[in-house]
Amino acid sequence: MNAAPKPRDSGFALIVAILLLAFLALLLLSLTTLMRIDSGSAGNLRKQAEARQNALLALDLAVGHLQRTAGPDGRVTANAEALGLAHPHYTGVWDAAADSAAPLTWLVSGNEGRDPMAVTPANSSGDAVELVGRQTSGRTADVMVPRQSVVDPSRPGTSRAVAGHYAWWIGDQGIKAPVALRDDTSAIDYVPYDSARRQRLPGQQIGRGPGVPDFEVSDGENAAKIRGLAAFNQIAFLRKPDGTALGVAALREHYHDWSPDNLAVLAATRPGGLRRDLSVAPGLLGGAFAAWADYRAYLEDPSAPAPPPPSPAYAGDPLRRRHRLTPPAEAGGITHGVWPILTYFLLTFNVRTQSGSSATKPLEVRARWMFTLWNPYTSALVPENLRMEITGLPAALQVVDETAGSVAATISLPAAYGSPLRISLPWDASVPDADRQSWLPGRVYTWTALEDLSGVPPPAGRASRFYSRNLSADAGQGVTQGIPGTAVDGDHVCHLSVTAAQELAARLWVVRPGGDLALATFHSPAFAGFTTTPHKVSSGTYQFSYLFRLAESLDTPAAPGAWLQDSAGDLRRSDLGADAFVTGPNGNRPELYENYATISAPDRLCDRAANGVSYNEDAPLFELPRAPLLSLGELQHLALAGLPPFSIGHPRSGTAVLGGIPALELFDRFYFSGLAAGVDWSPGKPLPNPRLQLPAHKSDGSAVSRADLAAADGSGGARYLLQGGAFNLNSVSRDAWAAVLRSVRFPGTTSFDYLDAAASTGTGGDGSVRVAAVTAAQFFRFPQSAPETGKADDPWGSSTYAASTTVPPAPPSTPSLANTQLFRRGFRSLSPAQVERLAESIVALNRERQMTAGPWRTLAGFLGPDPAYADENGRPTSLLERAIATAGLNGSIPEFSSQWLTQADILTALAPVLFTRSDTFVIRTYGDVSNPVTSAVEGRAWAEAVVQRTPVYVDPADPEDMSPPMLRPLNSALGRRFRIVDFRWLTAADI
Amino acid sequence: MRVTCAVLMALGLAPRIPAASIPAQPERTVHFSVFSAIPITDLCFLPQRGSSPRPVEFYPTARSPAYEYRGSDVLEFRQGPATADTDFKARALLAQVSMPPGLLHVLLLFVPLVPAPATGLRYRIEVMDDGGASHAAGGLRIANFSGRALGGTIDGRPLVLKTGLNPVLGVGRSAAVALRTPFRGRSYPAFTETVELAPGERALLILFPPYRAGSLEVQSRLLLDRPPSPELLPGKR
Repeated sequence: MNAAPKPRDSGFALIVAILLLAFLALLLLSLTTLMRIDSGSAGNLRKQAEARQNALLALDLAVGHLQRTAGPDGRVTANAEALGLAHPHYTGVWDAAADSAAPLTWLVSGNEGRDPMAVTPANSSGDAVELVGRQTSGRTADVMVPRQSVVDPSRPGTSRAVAGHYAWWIGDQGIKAPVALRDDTSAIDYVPYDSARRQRLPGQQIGRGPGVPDFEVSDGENAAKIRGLAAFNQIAFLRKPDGTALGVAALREHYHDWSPDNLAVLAATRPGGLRRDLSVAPGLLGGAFAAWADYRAYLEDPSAPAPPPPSPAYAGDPLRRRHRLTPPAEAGGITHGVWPILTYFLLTFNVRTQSGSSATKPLEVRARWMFTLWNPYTSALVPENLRMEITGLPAALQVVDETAGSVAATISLPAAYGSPLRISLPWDASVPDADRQSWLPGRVYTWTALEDLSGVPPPAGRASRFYSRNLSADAGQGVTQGIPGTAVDGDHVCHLSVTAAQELAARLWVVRPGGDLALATFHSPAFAGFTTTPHKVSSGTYQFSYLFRLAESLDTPAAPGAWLQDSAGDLRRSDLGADAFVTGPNGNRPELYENYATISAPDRLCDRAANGVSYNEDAPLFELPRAPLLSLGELQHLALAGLPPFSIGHPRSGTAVLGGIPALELFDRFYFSGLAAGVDWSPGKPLPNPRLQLPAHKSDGSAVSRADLAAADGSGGARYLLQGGAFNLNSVSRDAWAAVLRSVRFPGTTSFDYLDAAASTGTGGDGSVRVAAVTAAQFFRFPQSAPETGKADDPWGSSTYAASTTVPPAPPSTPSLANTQLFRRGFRSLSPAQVERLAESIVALNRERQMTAGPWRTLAGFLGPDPAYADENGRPTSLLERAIATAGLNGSIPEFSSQWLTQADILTALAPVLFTRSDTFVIRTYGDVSNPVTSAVEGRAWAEAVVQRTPVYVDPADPEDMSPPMLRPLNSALGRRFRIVDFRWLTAADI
Repeated sequence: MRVTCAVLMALGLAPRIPAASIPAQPERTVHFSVFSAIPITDLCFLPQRGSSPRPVEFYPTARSPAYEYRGSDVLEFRQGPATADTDFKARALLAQVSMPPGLLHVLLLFVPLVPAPATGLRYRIEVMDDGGASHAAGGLRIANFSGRALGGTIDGRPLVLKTGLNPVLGVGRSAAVALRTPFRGRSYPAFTETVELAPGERALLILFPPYRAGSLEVQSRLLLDRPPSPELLPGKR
């Protein structure tokens, strides 16, 4: 018997066992691998975290160094680009109180230690790390900064103590053009900006912010995107004019030229402290300035015009405005007042026997006159009756009887005509012509004597005829005054003689029911003693005349641009001296103007033909405020004692002092918020100066109120406000400067329209407007009123239309050299090429300056005269004036007119945003961690932060408006607090 | 030379010949009046040999009285009050002129020498034929001593002035004269005036250099008078 085969099952178990073992091994391996991966990942994360910690450490060090060096007000910043060194984008900090070219420090890692100049753009080398590279600016290794070691003292050994590295670089944002400013002007809809036309004023006064050819921020789609723009990179999404996106390439190309926005503390670099708001405290510059700035006090309310009302009548949102005659107020070296200026004076006399009798008769004196007065303003004036009072006429006019060989009489003209000789200059609006209902901007009007044989002086003054230039026809037999106690044979030959020199003074009054008000006094040139040509004493010949005119550019043909620039004073002086006038062509001898009656001078600016009513006849020079001031540059229209017009903001203001404040320092010490009296602003709305940014709330959580901003001494606003669109003028970026220079522009979506005045009246209805051609940049001489005076016709060949009744396309009916068109337009347009040239000139001069003396410390220094920028006559000018000259911008402008671009014109647009330092910076930091054994870098991190200086001191116990000498030591050392306003981690791909 | 003199005389502007080069000549009679842009005082002349010096009177806007002179061709003007007790020749000689032959009525235009010399002659004298034949009533003669090129219009008709005396223009009772001068490629106003003449009057418009330095506006003196009758010897007005 055989046994059944035994099943062979032991192999299966083995296989199972093996499989189990394999599975376990695999499991073990997997777990091990997982653990290794997890461990590695954790290690990497730990190293990354350590690297980030080192980057954050770098950020802390950078902010600390920035606070320590740039926190005080008395610091200025610039980058090293002007120095031509290896690291042009290093930011330096200079002491504003010193004039040394050497900075206090450069804002890069390595300088945070004991030696703030350990690393400079010249010596930075070695272990460097790239913080701005191809992905940022399109240039590899664009900003390289030295890597600093992070030492871990707990690690043994010297080499092992280095646990990682950090690096940082602070980029100066303020030297870049803030090209992505949003336009909030449409939200400025409160009084007095409660109309479409007035809403445009801020755009004319201070512009809409820097502009670049690549895109226009105010275009519809871009304007919407700008509102949501949170970072620089997002600018790449803006649309170019062709509708395509700007793209990152363009952004990289302009990384060092553009920023989204820059904010600046409204503080002075020297001596420090916050700027004051002249809008709320105009009295800081004295009563005259306050009166000038308070436009409502002398600007006619269009809803209730004074008689005669303007013709055409005001529209609902009038473009035209009229100011009221205002007597002078003088304080602090400033004159305010509104009155016409004497431009032509003729007073002529005849001494003869009574009625020209050839018999022996008493003598009589006949007088006749013509006076022309000019409205030098860009606003119309409300017409009123005037009176001229003349003194200085000879008190001893000898009538020498040559036939008899004796003195027939000695006549006192003051005794005969009164002292003063009072002459009424009535405004006759009975003729309904438009230019008799308003004293149009820049227009001259002439009065002539009216015949008066009564010999009785009217109490209101001797009568004159308004709107007359024909002396022979209108003055008739003149204004006669008998000389009692005299008797001369009419057939005797006599001459007249005055031995003493004569200086006449003509005082202008406005006649008002409540009492006449003196406006101004005009002083004649000195007239020499004289002896007239003998005539029969019965002759009606007007033997002598006092003749003088307002000097103007035609009187200096070799240097027509000298007028208004080189004169000793302003034409608006209430006591206008003889230096402002010129005698007639034959000089200062009254006897040489026998029977003189000539007035027509078509080549003169201040002349108007008898039938001339065209706008081309009129030459306005000065602007009167008609809205709140927004730019210190607008102060160029102030009349200053002893200075030519347009001096504020111009280097010619030199050492002038206004209200105890050097004129040039105004730009460092003041600003305009626009919150003047009568401005109905409320929290939540942009300020009239829309670039001023309010904080969301105060430190106590409440909103900033009108009361907070309206401190009586003007110090309130700057405690809270930051100036948006700020630009550090030490920038040497041509593209940045060019963008800033384009701040005032009228791109396609906006327009600048101006009154379409008629040649038949010189004015027009408010609804009749023309649109100006679009150019790259505008600089307003008349930022508030150019829309009223802008219409002017270009010359026809060598003749202008200034004396013409015709307008293009017809040729001028009367040839003239008077360039009224240059004065009328009120703004200078620059082409794209001119903007580029000006920017290049500024940058070139800025580079030269910074090479030798470092950056500009104050606006006063930047704007003031400097021998380094002497003009062709050797007179010191300023960098900007030199740049204008170098760029050849005025070469084709024959006269100092609104077309003659000046530094003050540039400042009108840019004064609110120009600073000599930056308060916005971008910080890029780097951190890494090293293997303690191999020293290999095992983790890297990059970060970027935007920091902003604020008005608050580091120790808030000191109020923001406290000035440096009074500060606590901590605040003296560290200044105002920087805050991080934006932060993001970067990757290597972002660098 | 004779041709040149003839041309100049035809224009009424005779050449000035230094007195020293003039040989002694027989006496002649000339009636003259004087004018200067600025009246000159303390000037006298010797009407004839052996007479007392006579003061010369200038008027600012008219010819002086007419003076009669008998003597050599060289007429001297010396300084000082016209007192008989002073030797005429002892006075300082301030101006002298050689009277062109053939002229009976002349206007002597005194032009100060610039710069004013410390001693010696102080004026040069331009001689103009002032007779009625050369400048009749209703005529306007313009003398351009302004030193500037002048041109323009007279009553709308083109007018180009040459330096010195210009031909007489018949204007009747009135003429609007507008003159301009070129400067740096542009034409500037130099003189604008309407000349009014009474019946029987004639006008001499003399243009002098601009009063103000740098100005292009020339000075002017308009001398109105009635032409002298040829048969009437003029006397003092």
